[in-house]
Amino acid sequence: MAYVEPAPHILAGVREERSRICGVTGLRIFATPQALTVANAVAAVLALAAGGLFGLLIGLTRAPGVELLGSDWFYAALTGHGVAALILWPIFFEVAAMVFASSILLNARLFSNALGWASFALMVVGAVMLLGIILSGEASVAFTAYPPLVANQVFYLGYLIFAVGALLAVVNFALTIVKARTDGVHEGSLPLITYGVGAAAILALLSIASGLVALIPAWLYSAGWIGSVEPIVYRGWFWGLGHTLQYVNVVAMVVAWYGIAALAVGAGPVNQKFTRIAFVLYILISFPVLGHHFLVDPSIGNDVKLVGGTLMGFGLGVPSLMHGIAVMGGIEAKLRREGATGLFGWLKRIRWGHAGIAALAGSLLIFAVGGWSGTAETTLQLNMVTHNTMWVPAHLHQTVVGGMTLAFMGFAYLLVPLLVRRELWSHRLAAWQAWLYCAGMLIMTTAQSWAGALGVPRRTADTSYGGDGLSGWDTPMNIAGIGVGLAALSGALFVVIMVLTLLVGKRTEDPVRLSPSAVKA
Amino acid sequence: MAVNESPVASPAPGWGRRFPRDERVFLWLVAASLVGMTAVVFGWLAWGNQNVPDTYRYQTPAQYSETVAKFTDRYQAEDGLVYVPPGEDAYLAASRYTFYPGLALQANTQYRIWLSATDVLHGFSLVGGGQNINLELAPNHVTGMNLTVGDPGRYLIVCNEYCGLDHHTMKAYLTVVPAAVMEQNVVAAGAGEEVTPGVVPAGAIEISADPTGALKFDTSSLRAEAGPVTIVMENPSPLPHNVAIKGNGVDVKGKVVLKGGTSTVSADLDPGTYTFYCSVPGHEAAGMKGTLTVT
Repeated sequence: MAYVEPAPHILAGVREERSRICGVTGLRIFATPQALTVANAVAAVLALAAGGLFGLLIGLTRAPGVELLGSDWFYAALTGHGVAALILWPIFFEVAAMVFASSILLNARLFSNALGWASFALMVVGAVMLLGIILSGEASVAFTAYPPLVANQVFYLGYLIFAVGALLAVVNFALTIVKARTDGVHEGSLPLITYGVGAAAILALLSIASGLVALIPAWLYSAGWIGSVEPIVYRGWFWGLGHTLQYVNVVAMVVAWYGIAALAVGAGPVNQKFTRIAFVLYILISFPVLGHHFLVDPSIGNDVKLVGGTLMGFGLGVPSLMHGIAVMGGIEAKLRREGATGLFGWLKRIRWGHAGIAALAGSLLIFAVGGWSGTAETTLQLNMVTHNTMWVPAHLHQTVVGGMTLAFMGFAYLLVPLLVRRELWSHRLAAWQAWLYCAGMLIMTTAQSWAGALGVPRRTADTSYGGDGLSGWDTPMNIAGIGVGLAALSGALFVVIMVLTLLVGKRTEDPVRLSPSAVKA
Repeated sequence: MAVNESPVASPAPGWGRRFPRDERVFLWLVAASLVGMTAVVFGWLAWGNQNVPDTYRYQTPAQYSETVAKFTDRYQAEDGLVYVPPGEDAYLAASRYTFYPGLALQANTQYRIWLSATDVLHGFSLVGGGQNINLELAPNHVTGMNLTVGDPGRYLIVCNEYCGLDHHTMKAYLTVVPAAVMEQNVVAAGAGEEVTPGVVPAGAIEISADPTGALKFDTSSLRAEAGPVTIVMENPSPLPHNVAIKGNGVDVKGKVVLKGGTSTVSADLDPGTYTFYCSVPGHEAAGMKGTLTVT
């Protein structure tokens, strides 16, 4: 797209900061937002790596054939896995996306560079406090930290400092968009990706605010300044943080879907209005759906559970179905315009060995399975069967890992070569990596769902219960362990491909080599 | 299907007006499936056979512990299990890292089981015997669950809400026993506990269960005049008994009582022949009955 020269009096201010024009996209990129995007993205990847490592350790502990960790380390690793993979990784990534979508996509400077760095610093401090106290073994309370269970108060302070940092990033994002428009740098409707990231930012705001309401009393309780915290009320506010945050992830995943479709096939969303309505639906439904965490809790009536849990849960499937059809429909429409015929002719034109397409297809597939398993467990009666069994981690890995992480991997395969002007180290291996990750996640989560249906509890260091566990429990848990192994292998392969691309990928300016098309010639 | 537009550029003006037929049809299909799923959930609430309990009480951990202690004292047998006779409520307290007390219930009988945690959050997960029932337990909140237990056996219960570093050791068994075993143990455990003073209404017929534990009353034939009739039965036997009247459209039962208790039944009877009997399962068939002739 073209860079629009702002009005002269604006330009005078703008040029104070170093900037460059991207040769491929024509976007003006300022130095600070670029550095801030990279810093947050690096922190996000480090958090993901930590989360993945903890995940491998606990996955192999849960496999009865391996039982890697002792129980104390298992619960510490479990807490670390939740904090790193479900809190730190998505929020760092979302902040990177917010800086990118507000400043870089709109050709604008940040509202405040200082605010951006302050937020990053607070988030890093909070993250280090969290992981440090978890590794010390004094915060083995799982990332949910339901009182009256208490951790060392450093744990809660880490959470709170991290949340304040993230809150500042959301403020900076919103004010950057306002400033871009009042300065005349950006006019017209926001690009779809900025719009989507905006939806994610609103959800992040709701989520963090809810988290503060939950965690401040929990901190005061752990410090001994208040006598008690009502556990059911805490669960409500905590999941206002926890579940809404997962929809920040989902929105980011959807943005990656559109990004992959645009870069690999040249396809856009099938319909801007349809797509944007779906983003608004996420904003409306994602917060109240926390009611599904109460489905088998005491003291809450079935009427509240049905409306706030089950019906909201069903409704939350709607925007995801809309985006799924809009992404696939956009690709189909593009290929039909290029001459594909018949019902499935367009599918035959796609190169399935393309890394971006492999990740997109795997992500759409596993996320669809996750949507189904979530809809099942948000059903009042079925929740009594699935609550706190392995069905729950199966659902959240189908959505957050198989759906989101795989989509981000695919997006990274397409975006990083453009950013660093180096060909992907091995495009073929990258496609294999994506399919392998997809297979590992499908094996792991299917076996976990199976185990959950048999009643295997989640979050326990020993599935055997000293020999009293049911005999049918071992088989699915061992199969899940195999899936964990495949996914971990594939995750390591992703890191290797990325590092080798950055270090020894062939330098080139050829757009065909930098961004290979997923459409057969 | 509409035009493709880049997701990173501002869309062309007028995008807000485009909403073609394909998209509308898709949304109607989604809406129809939502209505269908919602109907199933509400329908199951009305007609399904397993639903989430919605009976709750509020009791502090101290209050609930006291309730459980009284219940345990009353019914605990020598083997440590608490044998809960049919018709009585059962209580279970979860605390790190045990469920207390060990419950024994009678096969194929519906019970109300009260559940709560007394320290941190716990999970109640009944997974043995092909069951899979999971409830969240929290201090201060007591859940009343109606549970119909199945055939005799021992069914595993585990805690499935992370509760501390020994969480994985928190387990218990629900013991389901045949009626005969229940009777023996209820009596052995609860004998003399529920003594109701024998205030006999004027004009009542007084009978007694066999004090040796044989399944019979001290008489097999009673006579009464038409009108209000009351039978009062003392239970000196080691087994739980009651007295009941049936016949000619009448079917009334007195309370089942343990040793030392008194069961009373009243009915307004026309002339005719009735049966008085003990309604504890199996007792009537074994001979614990008689004829009541009303003239």
